[in-house]
Parts: sequence; structure tokens; C-alpha cells
Amino acid sequence: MTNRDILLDVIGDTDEELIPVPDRIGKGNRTMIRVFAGVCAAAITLAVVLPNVIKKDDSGITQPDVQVSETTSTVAVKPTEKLNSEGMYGGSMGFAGLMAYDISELDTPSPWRSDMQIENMPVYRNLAYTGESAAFICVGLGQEKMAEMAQQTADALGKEIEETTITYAGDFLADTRSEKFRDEVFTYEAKCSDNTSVTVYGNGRIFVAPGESVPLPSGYSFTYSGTTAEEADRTLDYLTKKYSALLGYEDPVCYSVADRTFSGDESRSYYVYDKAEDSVQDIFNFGISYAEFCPDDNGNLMCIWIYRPVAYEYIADYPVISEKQARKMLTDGRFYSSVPTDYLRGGRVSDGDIERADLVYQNMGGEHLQPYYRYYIRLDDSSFSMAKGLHNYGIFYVPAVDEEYLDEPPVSVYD
Amino acid sequence: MEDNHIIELYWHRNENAISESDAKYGAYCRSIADNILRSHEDTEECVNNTWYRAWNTMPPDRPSRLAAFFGRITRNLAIDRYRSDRAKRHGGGQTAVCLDELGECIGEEQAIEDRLALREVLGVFLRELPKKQRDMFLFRYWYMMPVSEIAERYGISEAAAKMTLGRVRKKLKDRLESEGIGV
Repeated sequence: MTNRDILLDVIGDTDEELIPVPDRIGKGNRTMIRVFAGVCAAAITLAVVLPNVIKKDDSGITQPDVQVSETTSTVAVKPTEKLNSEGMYGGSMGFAGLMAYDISELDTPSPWRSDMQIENMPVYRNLAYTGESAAFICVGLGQEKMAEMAQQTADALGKEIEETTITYAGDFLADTRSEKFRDEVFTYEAKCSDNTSVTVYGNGRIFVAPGESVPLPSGYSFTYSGTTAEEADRTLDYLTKKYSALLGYEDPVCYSVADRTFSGDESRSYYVYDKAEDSVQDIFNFGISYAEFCPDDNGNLMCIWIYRPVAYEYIADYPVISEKQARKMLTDGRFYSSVPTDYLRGGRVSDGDIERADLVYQNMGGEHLQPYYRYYIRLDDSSFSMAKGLHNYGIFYVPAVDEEYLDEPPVSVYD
Repeated sequence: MEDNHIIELYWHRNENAISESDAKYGAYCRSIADNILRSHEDTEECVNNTWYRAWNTMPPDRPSRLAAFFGRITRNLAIDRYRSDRAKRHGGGQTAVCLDELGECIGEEQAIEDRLALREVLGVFLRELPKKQRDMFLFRYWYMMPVSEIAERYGISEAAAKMTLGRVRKKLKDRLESEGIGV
């Protein structure tokens, strides 16, 4: 092999973080850097979490306890612990951006409104947090609780569990990784009678995969592209009713979001979350307690992801800043985002680039689940090869908790 | 479908992982393979093998950037195929041209034996480059993208793109020489 061949090979070993994932490569491509498949808080993935807040009893065993709203309104605890934003620094999967012809295409039924007067919000500890030494693998619930959740899920589906399989964190961690978590259960998979599988993760997330994709009755459209918002609402209404026992939501709110690929095709995601009367609880549920239905290529139901907030422990109610204060931090460059500043118009965020603001609970696998102001920033369209008229909106976060309580408040990226 | 959901499908040995990967990243991987091979049949085979290779590596792999993960597999498979074909015949899209260009950076008088050292020097070199130059270099020699396409991407002339790439190659040559690699 010649030296130039070797150089070509070594270039191929370049760190993934340096490799530019192009918006469009070659001709006729349709995708690329779509980090957030759905816009909403919901889309954000993470390590996820739970519907009920968990507290430890005297025996030290974690058990579902009170609802978030109950903790916030009546027995609020004063904050003493400083919070960190581990995992919010971005960049793990390309940059966070969404494409649309107009920002209104990315509308969601987010419960937050700019005229809300919220002075304090509860913050939670992520009980599935393992940290960098364990590659942030999400474990924490324990086998007993996971088995219980799998059984409940199978019961709700009307299925009999025939076989179970357990994987442990140690199955996936290199030998050099932390010993502390190696024996923790990572997934508990229950195989049911018709090959339906139910997998519960160590952070409470549930994955339901029918043995074969489930066809929808005629008249329902369920596709990533080519389904209108109205058709999606009808389909979601049908699926939510069909799986109501599985979801267990008291007041389900369905919605879909269709962002665009670089060629302008729609990419629709289908969500349902459990609406709450209390506004803060509602914001929590919107981002943390929800489900996603996924179609296959033939318009059938391929799988369901259910995000249950069962691995969070209430810490305290923390003072939060106003959106106006957060906006000032944003324009000062004090934010978290994976969007390269090269893509900002004029190299920085200005007021005119802010297309939307939201208040969401967010956790990227870090130690704390806390609220952030999330901004959609219009990026420099000339940086991307997109269909004519398409815009790219970058996602930026500003901590909502008063910086007095932050371990390391964000510093300006412009300094 | 979100990237982490696709990864979970692999981890669950759910064959939908393949179709979802192909739906989201098939065009991306095909472009990489086609840049290298310029053969529809070979490109298709490379992309199919990409999903097969991903199937065999997840778990335990849990890539943080799925696009780059798939892209790297495709690139390696395509280059292997290119080399195999080169032994039998000529051809191979951009690869032969890219190799010629890289020949400007590195001599052939002394065979490289320490790839790790080369990797380390190259890694530092790339990190020190301005982002635009680094991206252009990687579009050309990681993706084997035609210079005309790189020029279009940056809204510059092909001559300007060639000039930038030439300057980066010259910088790399100087760096490698100063490190005593491949002189």
C-alpha cells in the first residue's frame, strides 16, 4: 500500500466530531442533519423519564410518590443545591435544527405562554444518571420495578408474557468503565404471545414493538410525508383511543409536527401527552410524560415509545427568570446550543432572529432535570443547500433557573 | 424517526432498523459510495453492507452521531471495494484523483510504518485549521466530493475551491515534513 493510500485511510479515522455532516451531499438526497425529529419538547429524546416523581422511603427503596404539581404548590422546598447543565452543551448528534417554510409549520400545543407569571419551578434529580465514567448509560429503576412496568404494559395490551430477557449495563460498558453500574439492569424485555415485545429501560422509557406492524383501518393516513395535519389528528385520535389503556392518560392531547427535509419534503412525527390542569405540571408533562407513535413505510403502526417520569426525584422549587431576562442572555451569547456560530446571521443571535420562545423541561442525561427557555433562531439560509423558500431554525437553550443557583452559568460564546 | 430511535431498533434486533436507516440515511451513504466508486451496482452493495455492518456492531456500539457513523462505514467499504477493483481494472470515480492530490502531501520514498503517529499529527492539524478549510478538506478527502460540488456548496468558483484545497494540502505537507512523516 502506498503512503497516499495510508493517508487516505487515516483521514477516514478522523474524529466524528470534526466530520461535517452535509445538509445535502450529492444529488437527489433527501436528508441530513435533522437532529430533532419533532420539535416539541417531546421530540427531545433523552434519557428520559418519568410521570411520577419518585421519593425514597425510609428503607431507601425508590417508589412512585406524588405528582409534580402537588410538590410544587404545597410543600415546596427551598433550594440549597446548585444545579449543573451537564449534557446541554450540544454537539452529540450534529446540530439541533429544524427546517420549515415558515415557523408556523413548527407549531406545537406547548402549554407555556409568554404572559404566564411563573416565579418558581420544581427541579428534579435524574435517578438514571450515571455520568461520563459510565458513558451516561441510563439505569436506576431496578429489575423489580422494570418487571412490574413490563407486566403492566403487557396487561394493558391484553398480551401474555412468554419470555423475558435482561441486559445489564455491564454488557455494554467497556471493562475500563465504572464498576459501580455494571450490574444495574439496562433493559427488561418481555416477549409476548404474538411476538409483540415490550422493553422497559432503566430510566422508565418503554418501547412497544408489535410482532408485525399493525394496519390502520382504511381512511386513516399515517405516514412521515404526505399526511396533512388534519389527517394526522384523526389518526392520532384513533391510535390514542385504541391504546388508551396502555397510555393511561387522563386528558390526552394529540398533536403532530412536520418539519422538512432539505428537499422540502415533510417529515411528520406523531405525539400524545397527558395534559394537566396545573400550568407547571402541564409544562412538565408536555416535555417529559408523552408517547410517540411511529409508522412504517406502508402506513402501519410500527412501534410506540412511551416516556414515563418514574426516575426523577424532587429536589426543590427554584426561582426562575423571566423570558425577557432569558432573551437578554441569549443575545449576549450566554446560551447552550450545538449550532455553530458560523450559521448565525451576522455571527451572533439578534432580536430579529428570534422566531419563537418556549419554556420546557429538559435533560440530556445529566444530573438535573430543570426548566430552560428554548429559542428557535432563524439561521443564515445561505449556509445550507435547501429547497427554495425553506428556512433553517436552530435550537438554543437558556437556563430558566436564576443563575444564582447554577453551578456554572453559561458564559458568552462571543468573548 | 429520531436517530436514537433508530439506534434502539438496532439494539432490539428489530429488522425495521434497516429500512429506517435506509429511509433516512440511504441517500447520504449512496452519495459517499458513489463519489468513490461511480458504479451503481457497487454503490448499492456498499450501502446494503453498511446496514449489515451496523447490525453487527450495534450493540454494543451506540454512536453519538449516526450520520457520521454510517458514513464512515460506507466510506471504508467503498474504499476497500475501490482497491479491490483497482487491482483488476481502472476506474473508481473521485478516488483516484483524490489519491493523486494527496500524493502532493506525502512522499513515497520512505514507507509509513507508524500510522498512529500519522493519525495524531493529522488530528491536531485538522483541529488547528479554520472550520471552513477543515470542512472543505474533509468534504474532499473524507467524502471524496467533487471539487465542483464543494464550490457550489460554498458559493465560490471551482478555481477558488481548488486554490483553498491546494493551500491546505501545502500546509499538511509542511506539517508532515516537520514531523518527519512520509518524507
